[in-house]
Amino acid sequence: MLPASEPHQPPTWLTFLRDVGGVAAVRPVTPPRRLLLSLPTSDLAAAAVALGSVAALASHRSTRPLDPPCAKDAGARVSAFVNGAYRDTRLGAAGSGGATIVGGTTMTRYADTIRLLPAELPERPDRRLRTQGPILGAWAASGLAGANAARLHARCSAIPVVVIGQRSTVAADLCILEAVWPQCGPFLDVGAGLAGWFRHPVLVCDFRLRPPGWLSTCQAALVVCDGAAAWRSQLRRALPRAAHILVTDRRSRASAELIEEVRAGNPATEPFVPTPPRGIEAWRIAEVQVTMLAASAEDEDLF
Amino acid sequence: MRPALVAVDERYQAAADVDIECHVLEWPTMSDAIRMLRDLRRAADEGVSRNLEDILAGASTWARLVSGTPLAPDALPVATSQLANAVRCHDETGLDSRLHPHLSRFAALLDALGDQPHPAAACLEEVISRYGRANPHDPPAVYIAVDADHAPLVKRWLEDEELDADVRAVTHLRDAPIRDALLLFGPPARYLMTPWCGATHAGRIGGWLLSAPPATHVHIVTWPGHLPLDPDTINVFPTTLAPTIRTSRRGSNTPERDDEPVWLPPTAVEPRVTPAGSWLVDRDPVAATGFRLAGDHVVFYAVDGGDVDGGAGPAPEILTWDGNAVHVTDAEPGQIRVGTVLLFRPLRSATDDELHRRADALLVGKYGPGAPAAAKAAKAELKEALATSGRTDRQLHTALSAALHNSGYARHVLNCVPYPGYIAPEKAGAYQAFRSVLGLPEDDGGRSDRLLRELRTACRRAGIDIIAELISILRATTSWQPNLETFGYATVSGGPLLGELDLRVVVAVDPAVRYIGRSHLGQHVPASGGAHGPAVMRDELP
Repeated sequence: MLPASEPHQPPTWLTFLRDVGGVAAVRPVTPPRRLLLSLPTSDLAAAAVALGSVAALASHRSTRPLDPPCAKDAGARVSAFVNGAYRDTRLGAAGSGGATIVGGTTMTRYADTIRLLPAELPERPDRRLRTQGPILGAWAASGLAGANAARLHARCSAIPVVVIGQRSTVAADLCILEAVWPQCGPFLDVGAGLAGWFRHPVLVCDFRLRPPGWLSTCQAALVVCDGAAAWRSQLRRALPRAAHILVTDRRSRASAELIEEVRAGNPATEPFVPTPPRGIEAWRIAEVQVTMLAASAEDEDLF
Repeated sequence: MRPALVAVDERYQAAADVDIECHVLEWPTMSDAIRMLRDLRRAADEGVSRNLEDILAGASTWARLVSGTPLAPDALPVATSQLANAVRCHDETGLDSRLHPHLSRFAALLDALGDQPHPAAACLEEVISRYGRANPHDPPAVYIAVDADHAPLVKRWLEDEELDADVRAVTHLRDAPIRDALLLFGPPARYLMTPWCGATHAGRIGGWLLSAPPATHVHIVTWPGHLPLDPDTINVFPTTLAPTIRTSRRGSNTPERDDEPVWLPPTAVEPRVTPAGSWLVDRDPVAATGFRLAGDHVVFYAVDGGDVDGGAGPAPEILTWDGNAVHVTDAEPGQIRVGTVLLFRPLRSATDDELHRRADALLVGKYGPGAPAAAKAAKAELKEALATSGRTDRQLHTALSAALHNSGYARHVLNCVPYPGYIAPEKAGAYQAFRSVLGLPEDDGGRSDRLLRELRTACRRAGIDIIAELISILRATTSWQPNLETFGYATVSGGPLLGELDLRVVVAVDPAVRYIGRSHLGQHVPASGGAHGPAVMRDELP
């Protein structure tokens, strides 16, 4: 599921972080769907969890197509992988035998990756992915036998993994992880911010990002929160249906305080599977879902 | 593997295989002295002379030094013999005579301690000698964690004893590379306990010194005066197996367990915040909550919502940080708890020149070179007219109240206009009404109002730019963190032009609601009085 040739045996803790990401993304435990990890250092952790989750999702979705979009009205705005590029386009009238037509192209192999675009999502330029390019090259080399790299990429990007943290940190961490898992950087294909939704398997967003209204109509596979600030962010609360993983540094004061708060609200202890290696602490909780009402511009008129 | 991956792997390995040894040292005389000091403190709660209060404060400093350094009692900056003399002299004066048995016993114990070596000295020597540098160019193999203000003392002591160790404050150990051993003076909680951070909380925050330490071996050297180590606080989650701790005892008797620290104030911080008298007589009072801040400062914020009339005043800004992510958020006063860090923007006087320089530059850039002078003339016109109106304050207030149909706002405007930083009433209607009350000619086509609006926008933008720059400095540096964690307050300096951001920890929240002047909201001042917000004085006219 990851690049086959591994020049170094990964350390136990790294394998654990990768496996946690995989388990949480593919088989989100319901309930609880919130995993809290306290680590000796948070370096590399978010990247390793994201890598594990995307690798597991790719493996899982290589044989299982996604559910098609609900509405199939002609003219609906959709995001689709057409002719080697992600495009925001319109759904055409159904073709012969109910085939889906997008932007004049009859979709056969990629029909399940078509996603309805939220009305508020702004126009985006196309994103072209070359078959021989580094990204699809890394996906093709990922060892998933018989799977089409572009289709897998599209399936994973349709329901992406969201990392709340610093993009530069995740990018630097991926470079370091390449010593263990070559080509993991292009394999993850990290997108910056929410504008790349449906187009990247992993999106890294700053914890200060205010979630746009359209986000409530989208689905994420997993939310990885890198630090206490990410856990407290509005963005995390805007994706309540996905599984959440909190990655904290044991040395951080804010993390210790956040975990004290969370523990006070969730006294029940839950055994954590897989059992973490020594030095790593793991806990899971069922978070009470609070629906956040997005403040709209009209509200200001009331005051 | 790459060096970065190796460094991370080392940290995980150190956490996984950490070997913790607790050296419990016996020091019977110190146990007795501390017990006596506690008794005296309890007695002091019931009321003692001012002189004895000062002596006990000195004794607290002494006890903190004894518990945080391995120095012999008589080599301390607060010398044990001097303290003993002070106690004896006070006892001889006959003041606080009911405490005579305690005082004489305490003085005798201090005398006895003066001749004794610190038991930790021998223990440290033995532990440090177990480790050594593999290569003379390597850094020391042992870290010693100390309180930030004790670092020079411990360094000097190590030099005198010819011991090789790296002395660092706990905050500076966080990112330290992995070495062979870490030495702690007492449990981690001792380093982080403050009046606003209790033992359990401090233990949980400092637990990383045992569960994710920057060394493969951790030695806790503990002697009378330290809290016992609470193993439950080492891990953050209850499901995790606590690490094994080997305990070695020195001495024949089992030392007594101390359940309270020696150096903290005997009572919790007084939560009541009494505003200065002049704050109460302000004619525009607002219901406010008081907060006591570290460094003995106080601040007031309007209770949630404030009054309907003039808004809630400035909103508190809360600072949180996690590694390199620094978060500044607006909050409601109701969200502020003991331990919350509040961020205060620079005092207006500190950045006045820079603010005006930037505002002028913005005005010139947008409206041409004559814009700053024209706007300032419009601003000065109102102030001059008020100063030379020849009418009493009461007459002006009556006239303005009638014109504005709002007595409170009229008072607010009259109070604020003389202040040099105040520009003019913001709403056009209020501005025109004020002009007519002062007998100024009608604003020609709203020209003055427009100029003032431009000036206000430019000043606000300049202020926002300055704050943004200061917050970016706050985000880019971490030098303020040790001070904030040690003393409860810190400043982030933007140089002489930009001024400073002030960070303070909330130590207590006043349960009562008080009514204070609106202009005093959101400004922290010394609890004993001192500067009282923007002085609204008639003689400060430009």
